[in-house]
Amino acid sequence: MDQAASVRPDPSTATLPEDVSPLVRMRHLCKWFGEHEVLRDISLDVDSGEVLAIVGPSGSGKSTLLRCINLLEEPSAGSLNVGELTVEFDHPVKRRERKALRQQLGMVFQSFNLFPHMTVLENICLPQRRVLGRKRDEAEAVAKDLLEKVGLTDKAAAFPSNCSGGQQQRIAIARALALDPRVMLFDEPTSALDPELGLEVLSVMFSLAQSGMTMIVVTHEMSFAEKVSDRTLFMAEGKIVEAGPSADVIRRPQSERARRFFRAVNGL
Amino acid sequence: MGATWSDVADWIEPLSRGFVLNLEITFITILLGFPGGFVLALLVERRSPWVRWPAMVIVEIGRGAPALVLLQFVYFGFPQIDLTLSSFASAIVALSVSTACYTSEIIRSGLAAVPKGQKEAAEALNFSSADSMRFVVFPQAAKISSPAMMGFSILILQSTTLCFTIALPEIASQAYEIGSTTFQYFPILSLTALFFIFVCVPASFLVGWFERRSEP
Ligand SMILES: Nc1ncnc2c1ncn2[C@@H]1O[C@H](COP(=O)(O)OP(=O)(O)OP(=O)(O)O)[C@@H](O)[C@H]1O
Ligand SMILES: [Mg+2]
Repeated sequence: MDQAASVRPDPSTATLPEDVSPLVRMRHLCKWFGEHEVLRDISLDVDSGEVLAIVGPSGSGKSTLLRCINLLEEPSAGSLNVGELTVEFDHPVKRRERKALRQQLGMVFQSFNLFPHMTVLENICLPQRRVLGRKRDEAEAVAKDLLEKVGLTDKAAAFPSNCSGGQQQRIAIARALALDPRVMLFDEPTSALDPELGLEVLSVMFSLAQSGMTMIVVTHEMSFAEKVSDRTLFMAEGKIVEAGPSADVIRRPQSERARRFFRAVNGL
Repeated sequence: MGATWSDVADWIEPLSRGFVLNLEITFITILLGFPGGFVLALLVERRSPWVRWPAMVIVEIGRGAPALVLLQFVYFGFPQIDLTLSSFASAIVALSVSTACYTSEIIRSGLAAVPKGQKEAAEALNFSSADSMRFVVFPQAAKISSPAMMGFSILILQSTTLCFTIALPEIASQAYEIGSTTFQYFPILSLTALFFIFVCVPASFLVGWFERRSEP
């Protein structure tokens, strides 16, 4: 029996052949902060090329879940599987496991977190050179290519402080993509932005999704969740309350908890 | 019987010779003490109590003991354990230790002032912790700490005059010697002060300018 969280049958995974394993697989993941149980027995599968939106009230553990995937927080129990790598959290994570896991994951933060003392080009090149050992020329070629993709070729020599929030976030996406991740994690990438600037970021994310990137996106943008993501996961109090095709979860939530949340979000 | 201008001219040479020593000691002390402070700052932040506690004890002793006492301890005390250092070497050792201990606190608060998101971004990008420190955290911490570190450098220069107690012919010793033979204490010490003012006042302005510039 498949233990992946799924309150209703999920047509997108139901039709998959048995031997196609998901790209990201979580089993019974728990996270405690001291006495406080922030994630309760989370099991979840994300397929290659899938875009998964995670929504839910503040404090429900969405960020923690995302941060547990790339081990910015170490889960207290359970197991995590990305690609060929499986990490069991019955022992402290080994450095080698952490490296191998993060190699496959890119992360984009709400507050961009570009390095303020480096130019945009250096921000994108340094990780490639230090982490992947690319030569300067190669790294710069990759960086320029990505800057073009996010529409910021003219900002290569600028410092982050001279870029708008929307531009900074697009640069942060390029910086993460430069390391060739298999999965991109986004933690409320547009929450710190004016709606207009947020739109630039969303359009970059949209084309990324179109290109087949596997994405896990914590978001408050229901329209993004509905239009771009294949599946939406509703979390509350550290649990997955509902999961399923985005339109169903957002338009026709089954649980009272989710109905209340979406009513509030829609201002009704 | 006041000092004449030709007396003053005669004093300039020995005082300058002494002041060169003060500058040399300051320079070497910064060169050894600042990295030492950085290392202590890192050790104090380590999780393991076996590393953290000894480092904290060293820092507290180094900050608690007056520089004058440290100087005397190294110059007069070490020979008793068969470690005899020249007055120059003693000055370097004592002032570097004192500097390392004091600046470790400055550096520690500088490191702590780098936003957490920066370290997390480096971590998420799979930087090794050494690379994260070297390329992301340290450059930002250095910028935050630099006004306080420059201010501390001025204090080091001033504290090098304490070396007159360990027979080092630096500027204060020179002044004292000239004073004790000519009894012209007032002009000779004024002249000595001028040497320091000549360096420290522009340096203070520089620090102030830096502080204003690094406040965005
Ligand atoms: N480092 C931490 N130490 C202790 N408690 C934490 C820590 N990080 C998060 N928490 C707690 O865990 C719970 C879930 O936090 P989390 O940030 O994952 O929520 P979220 O769903 O992302 O909320 P938001 O929508 O506000 O971002 C909260 O109650 C929070 O206070
Ligand atoms: Mg959050």
